[in-house]
Amino acid sequence: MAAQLSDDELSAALAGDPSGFSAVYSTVSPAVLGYFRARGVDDPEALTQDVFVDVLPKLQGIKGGHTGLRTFIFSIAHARLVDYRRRSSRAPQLSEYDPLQDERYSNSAEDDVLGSLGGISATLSMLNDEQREVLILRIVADLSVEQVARIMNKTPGAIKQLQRRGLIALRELVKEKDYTPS
Amino acid sequence: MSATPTGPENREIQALLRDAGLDGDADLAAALGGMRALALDTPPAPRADLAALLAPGVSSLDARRNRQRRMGAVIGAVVVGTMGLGAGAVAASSEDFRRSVGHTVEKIFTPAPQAPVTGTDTASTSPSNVPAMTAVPAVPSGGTAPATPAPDSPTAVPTAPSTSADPVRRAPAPGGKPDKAPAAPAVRPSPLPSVPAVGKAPELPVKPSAPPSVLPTLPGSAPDQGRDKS
Repeated sequence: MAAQLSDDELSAALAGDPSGFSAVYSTVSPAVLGYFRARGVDDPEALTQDVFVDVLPKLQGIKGGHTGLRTFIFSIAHARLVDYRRRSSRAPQLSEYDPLQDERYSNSAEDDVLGSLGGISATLSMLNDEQREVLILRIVADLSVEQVARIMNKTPGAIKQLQRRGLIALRELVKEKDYTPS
Repeated sequence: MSATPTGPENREIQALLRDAGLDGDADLAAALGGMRALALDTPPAPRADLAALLAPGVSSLDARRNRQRRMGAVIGAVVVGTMGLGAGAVAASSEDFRRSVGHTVEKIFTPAPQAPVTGTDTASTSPSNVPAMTAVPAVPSGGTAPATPAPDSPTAVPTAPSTSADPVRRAPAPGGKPDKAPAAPAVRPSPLPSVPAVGKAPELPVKPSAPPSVLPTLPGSAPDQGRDKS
């Protein structure tokens, strides 16, 4: 990960000190935001902030250091994502604006720069839900197989199996789409 | 932000691919690098409630809300206490205030025992008073003119029918009230002939008087006629 939480910040956060809260937020929230983005959530920033509003007051009882903290935060994020899916399944379906259908379409500068990001999100959406969840938790959230197994309430062997199948499926999809990184 | 991970991230991705037996696939490694790049964004600007949580000195929003609730209770208690102290100070400083307060308190509390007593009195004496009240209005209800002679009528009427037994029952009867008149004459048919002379109900006395007249005459006349015939 880009930034790591220092031991002092971690102990301050686990002691309920707000200075530790801001360190936890600035360190872990990008990964949570990326997790929600990779899952194709409509408003990933709002869900990220929901997670941290939930998580930060409850940091005092966490054990396991850095690993326990990340596992706790991403288990909350996973639960929030499940809630979001249930809520959106009951809500009226929103049709996304597709710029390719727009006759006034012109190349987006952001797409030119970050073309690979939009591509990988679209590719991930074609994966099986559990495989996608395992790959995102392993790569975007940077969690170990055991942590992912705890969050998804599965055995590490099942997670490894899902990961392997997900990677194979992703490789096929990448080849089909002639994926080229920018 | 770069889409192609370098350094330790790249090594982790290679280790992941090696675990799955897919190492050496550059396209897949690049795709996973793109996935990893999703987590390299800057943290989103916190909204209001999260910013309050991240502010120094706030460890829980609930604690802050509870503190505000406690502050409201404390302010209320202080206001009530100050008002009590102010009232006490005014009472201590001016004698007129004390006197007027004592007067009002007396006024409040002295009628309070009387009010329930009168209430119970009316409730308890009502059975005794009501007959008296009903008896008195019953006399004037007989007519507007006999309202004054009503007290006299018990004395006058008994003389006329020569029955001094029930002056109260007599009283409504000469009043000429049609409702009460039948009740009294039903019991005693004999004074009733005098009532129709005063009142307006001649038929009611006739009915009770007729059967007794018929009944005695029939047995009296029948045997006489039978004896005469036989």
